[in-house]
Amino acid sequence: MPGPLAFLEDYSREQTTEWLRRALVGKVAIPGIAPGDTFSNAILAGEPGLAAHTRRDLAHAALTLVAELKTSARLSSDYVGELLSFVVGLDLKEAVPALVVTAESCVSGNTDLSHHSRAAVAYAILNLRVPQPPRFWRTLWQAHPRDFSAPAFAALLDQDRMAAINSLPELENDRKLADSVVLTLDFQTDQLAGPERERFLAALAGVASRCKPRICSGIREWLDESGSTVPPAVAPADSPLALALGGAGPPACARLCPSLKAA
Amino acid sequence: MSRTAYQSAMERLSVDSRETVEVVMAAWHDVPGAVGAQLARNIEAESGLEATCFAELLTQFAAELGKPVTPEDAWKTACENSILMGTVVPDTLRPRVLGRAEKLPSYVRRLAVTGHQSAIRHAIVKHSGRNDPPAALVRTMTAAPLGGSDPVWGTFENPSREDPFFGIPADTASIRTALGLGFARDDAEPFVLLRWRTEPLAGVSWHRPTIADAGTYHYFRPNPDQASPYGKTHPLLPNPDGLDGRPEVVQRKITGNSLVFPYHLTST
Repeated sequence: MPGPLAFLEDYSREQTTEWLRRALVGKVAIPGIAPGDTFSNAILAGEPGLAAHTRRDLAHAALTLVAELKTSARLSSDYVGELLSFVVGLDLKEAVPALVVTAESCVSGNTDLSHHSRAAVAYAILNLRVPQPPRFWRTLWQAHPRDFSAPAFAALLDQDRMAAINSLPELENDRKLADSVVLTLDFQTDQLAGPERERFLAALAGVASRCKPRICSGIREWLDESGSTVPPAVAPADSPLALALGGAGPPACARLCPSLKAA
Repeated sequence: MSRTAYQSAMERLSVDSRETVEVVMAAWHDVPGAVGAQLARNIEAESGLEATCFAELLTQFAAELGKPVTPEDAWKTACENSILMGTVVPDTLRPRVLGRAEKLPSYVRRLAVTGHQSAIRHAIVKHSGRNDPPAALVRTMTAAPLGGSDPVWGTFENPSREDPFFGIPADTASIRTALGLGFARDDAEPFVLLRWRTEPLAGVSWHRPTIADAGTYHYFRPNPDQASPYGKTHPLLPNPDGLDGRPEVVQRKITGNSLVFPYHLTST
């Protein structure tokens, strides 16, 4: 029995592209979409049932739409999210060069994407697992920390763990950012064992107090939850944080993170 | 012989609209095994739409059929303006906790549009079954919408029970069968079983699902019990364990702030 997307077999490459552009925002029916499903997931579910040439056309359509991200006028965040979710779901690594160009255009101000869409572009590059040079990620991070710092941190952590940890104090004071970083740290930690894992956790505990409050508390909350026995860190007496807090009294980070016990 | 809701609704249409719809319904019936045939049967069996709403839906359908689109596209577009129009579930019968099953890769992709996909998947698998998952994971999950699109479908076993999946074996195939998740055929990946409280929320109501909420999803069946405040899932065949259909309702898509933990992954 033909799959739900079998009608695409009769489409030209251009028709497939146009169909995909409209389907990703729900402007055409997607046979096989389950109630409450996303458009991209519904298409991904039907894709394996297509003939090889149609699957190639669908992939080509996705690449065409990705290439348009750099130059199109303000696209809806929903559309960009669905497109990139589809690309990642297909594991379409050929999309990475165009995504890199789009991200770099965001840095230069030549691309009009929303904050959400910029982050989605960076996460798509990360989630497609095609490594990019550290300089690429650092440039994104410095240009738009709100949008790019979390995916950049995750990418840098893969390449040079200790260098990435030492960049944690540069993260902005944002809880959503902290949550994203913590999930990445947990994932990374679970791939380590024995002394390497302990060194990693100790390094994190050591740098946490130099981080901005929400990042600090997020990391220490995670360390507490994971049962890591590391001593509370003390902010250096002449750090901006210590000076702002009067430079005396209990460890600065402990005062900000009530869940910590004093040494 | 009393008229069905469909027949009553059709009588309210203009002659032209009625004829347009009848032509398509007949064409759909002419291909018995196809999606259209089931859509036609569902439309004829629907009893949960108030007469005026049903007539408006069919009128919209007729109007869309006048455009250069497929009948399925026309039906889908017509449905968009008629979602959440089934009877409202009275407060006294509102299920306390609802559940839905979403394929793990699909759920991870939704959360990872702006997230580290490998890390999110790792966390969801690692903390399945925990009453107190890590705060970062809880906040990530509760920040995401309950479903991918409007409306969100939720099921339950008993309105006062905390476990909406009670009575269904916790394996992937049984959940798929009992909830009628016809397109989720890949049993190699588990479902994430999400639960959420239905606390009263401004602007949120729970409805009996109708053909408009289902759109072109042909695994849906209108509940044959006209008097029921709920819909009913249609277990997939072959259903070797004889699982019964479950009550189901629909609601507007909202964030996951009312998610209940633990969540679980089905066994594959």
